[in-house]
Parts: sequence; structure tokens; C-alpha cells
Amino acid sequence: MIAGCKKGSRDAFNELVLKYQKQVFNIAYGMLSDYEDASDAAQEVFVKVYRSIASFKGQASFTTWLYRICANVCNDILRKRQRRGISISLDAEESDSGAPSEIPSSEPTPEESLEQNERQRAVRDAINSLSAEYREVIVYSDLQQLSYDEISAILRCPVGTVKSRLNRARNALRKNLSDKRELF
Amino acid sequence: MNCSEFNKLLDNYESLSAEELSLLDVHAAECDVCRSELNFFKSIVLTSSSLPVPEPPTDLLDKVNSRIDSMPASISRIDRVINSFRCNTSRYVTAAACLAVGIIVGLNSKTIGDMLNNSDNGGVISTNVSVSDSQDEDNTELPAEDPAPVSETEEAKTVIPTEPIRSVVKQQPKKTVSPASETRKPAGVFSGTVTAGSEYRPVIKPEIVSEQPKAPEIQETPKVTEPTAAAVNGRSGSRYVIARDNYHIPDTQPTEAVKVTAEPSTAAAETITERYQIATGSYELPDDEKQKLLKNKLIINEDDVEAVTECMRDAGIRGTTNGYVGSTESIANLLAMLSARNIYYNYAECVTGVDEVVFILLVN
Repeated sequence: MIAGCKKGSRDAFNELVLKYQKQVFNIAYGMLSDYEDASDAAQEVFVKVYRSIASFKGQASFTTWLYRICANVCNDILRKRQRRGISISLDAEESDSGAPSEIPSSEPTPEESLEQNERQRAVRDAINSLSAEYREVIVYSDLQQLSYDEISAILRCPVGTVKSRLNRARNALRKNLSDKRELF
Repeated sequence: MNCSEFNKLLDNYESLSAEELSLLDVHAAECDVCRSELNFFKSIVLTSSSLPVPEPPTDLLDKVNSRIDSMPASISRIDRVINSFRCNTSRYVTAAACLAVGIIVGLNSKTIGDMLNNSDNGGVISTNVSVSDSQDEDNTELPAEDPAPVSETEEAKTVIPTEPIRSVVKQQPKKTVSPASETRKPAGVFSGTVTAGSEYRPVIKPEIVSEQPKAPEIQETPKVTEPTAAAVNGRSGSRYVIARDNYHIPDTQPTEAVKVTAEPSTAAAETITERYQIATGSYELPDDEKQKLLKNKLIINEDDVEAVTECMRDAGIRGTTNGYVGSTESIANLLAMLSARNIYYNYAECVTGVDEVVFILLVN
């Protein structure tokens, strides 16, 4: 499939998009917490993949390379947001978004559902308040369930650095959520 | 473990070993506060790991293809060319580096080959004094790079001295000048010339001019009865003159004049020309008188005069009307000092076995 993309096969490329779009979108959404921005970011990621697939040498795994592009695109969008002074909140997102959003079905009680939603919202907000550096390690570790080695390959830093960033990210989340401890 | 240690471990949760994690749990089981903190921590991790993520747009693929199709074809092609170039850059760089190395090696090989072919010394490359023309009568005896100028009775040595030249000179057999042959030159006499501008480090060799000496002996010099003409008409020409002009004599001029006659025993060199000419020209002297007139010579570069003078002073060398005088030990110390300071010199020793050595200082 990747070889076909290198040769310029559009069918192979389409197949690649369908295979990886969910993962790319998950990362984008986790980083940006906005459906539209995540969608735009996912499109940008695949367009970049199409334009630069020839330079993929195969030294790293394709997903590592793909996630690296995704992280760069998301960081670019976050920087643009910072310059424009845009902040994203979950409430605004839910009210503006016309796109379907899927809630995992676990069949909790209404109270539990409410509590769960509150917890998730609080954590999401806390993640959004993190710096891009800490946010991306939380996304890759918790949302994507990637290993330390995989994250190290994506971010091009030592595993020790990944662990260190993750520790600081979690400590920051704990601190941000300390006043909402009752939800946990 | 106390609560403080517990909190420190919790702050580095991702870096904990299995043993440390178990310690954390053990303390949490005993401490309510720490247990609450650990549960809070784990709950955050659990929640972030289970955050709902909406499905990607169903038209994501279509939008991607639309964007690709809307890109100008040239840009797309350029992108591919650029990416292809980036992909092969390392190969291009490697190939260019190999080509450059090959060219450099080729050039160097050619240069070395040329040097070997053009050299007349069997391939020995020397930066020392060039081999002087065989027709020159005042030629520096060079190391065995070119043994041609060396007398048949002498063994040519390839010497590029890095140690006091005295040791080199000592290795060479001492020859006494026999008054019998007019063509003989005093042993150990510096009859060399130095090519101007060359890295001077000539080698002094005592030589006996054979009946049919080879160049660079002063074959054509007139007989001793006409020393002046010999000096003027000598084939060494300017080089001969250079050595003469730079001849350093002590502060006091010699008072004795040397008459170059058949019996010059009672005469000392009156002029520099005559003195030098006596040293290099053909003359006849009795052995004992020759010993008086023949002096060792220390040849240095003009730039080193000050340094050499300082070394001579440190070594206890003193100046006299006849030249610089010192004991054999002080001479040896002087030469050692010059070597230690990397000062080029050439010491022609023609008088040995005496307690006090007299030498003259020649400057290049």
C-alpha cells in the first residue's frame, strides 16, 4: 500500500487514508479538542502524506512517521490559536458542533453518567490547559495508548524524556484538578 | 516510607520500578491521606485514557482528495521532485565526496610521481640544500641523496642532522692534508655553497681532493701563489662571495696577515678574502702551521645571530682576534643549546684533539 502510494497510485492512497483516518483524527481531536479543527488537521495531515510519501525512507515505522506529521500539524494549529488568543472549551464545542459525537456506551446509571461526563469534561479541560509539550505526551500515552518507545520515536526524544514529560503532565493535571477532587 | 517519600514517588510515577510501585501501594494501604492521593492520581489517568473521541468525518477522504486535486499539477510534481531529491541527497553527497577524494588522490599521486621522476636522487625528497652544480667548485657536500660530488675516498652519508653536526662530522674520517699534492684541500674544510633562499642545513664533509677530483672541488682555482685571482675567478662566483661577505670575525681584527706563499707558516690571513681563500684554496703549509690557521667553522642563519650569540655567551665561548674560542666541552654545550632551541647550524670541525677550540662564525 505504501509502495503504491510512493508510485503515485491514488487508490493506494485512498486505502491508506481509510486505514489511518481514525487514529489521525483521534490524535488531532485530543490535541485540539475541537471537531472542526481536528477535521481540518486530519485533512492537512493526509495531504502532507500525499506530497511527501516519496521521502518516507522506511527507517521508522509508517505510523511513527504519520504521527509525527500529525503532531507537527496540531502544534502549528495550537500556535496559531495562541497568536489569535482562541481558547476552546468543551461547552462551546458541544453547542457549536453540528457533527455527530459518539459517547461510549457503557450503560451507566444517569447519575453515573452525569458524574462520568463531569469527570471527562474536567479532565478534558485540564488537558487543554496544558502546554503543547505536555498535552501531546498525554494524548499519545492515554488516548492512543502508545508505549514509551513509540512516543520516543514520534517525538524524537529519549524514553527518559518521555517519562519525565509524562510525570510533569500528570502532576500538572493533578494540580489543575485538585479543586474538583470530589469528582474523582 | 513516610508520606513525604510517598509524594516524591508519586510525582515520578511513570519512572518508578516495580518495587517502588509496590512500596507505594504498601504505604497507601497504611495511610488514608496518601491512599486518597494515589486514588485521585489513578482516577485522572483512567479518565484521560477513556475520554470519548468522536468519529472522524465521513467525508474526510473526499475532502483530502479535493485538496490534492485542487493543487496545481506543477506544484505536485515539484513536491515529488524535491522529495525525491531529499531522498537521494545523501547519495548525491556521498558520490560527490567520493569523486572529490578520488580527484585529490589522483592529483597527489601525479604530483608524487612527478616529483619522483624529476628527482635525481633516487626518489629521496629533500628540503635541504639543493645539490649544487657539479661544475661549481664550492659545493656543499650533501647527504647521499647525490653521492656524485663526493670524493672517491669518502663515504657519502645521507645526513640531515638533527643533532649537533659535530657528531656527524666525527663519523667521517679525518683526513690530514698532505702538502704533497697541490690539488688537495685541507680536511674538514667547508667548501660548500648554499643556495640562497634554501632551507639551509648543509652537511660538512672533510674531503680529500683526489688527483682527479670530482666537482664540487675547487679544481680550477689558481695555485696558492695567486690566491686573490682564485677568489675572484673562482667558479663559485656569487656564492663564494656571499660566504665571504658574511664572514663574521671577532671584534678585534686579526693583526697577523697571512701571506699565501709557498711557506705561509708565519703569515696569518690579513683580509677576510685571503683568510677564506686560504681555507678553501690550494696552498701548502706545514702541518703544524696549518693547525694554527685551520679553524673550525660554525655556520648559522642570519636571523639566528642574536640567539646564537646568546648561546655562545651562556656556553662560555669568548671572542679573540683569531676567532671564537672555547673548550671542547663548551663547544659541545653550545651545539647542544643550538639544537635544543631548534637553531639551524653547521659546524665544520677540522681541528680536534685540542683543549681549546677556535672557530669562526659564518652567517648565511
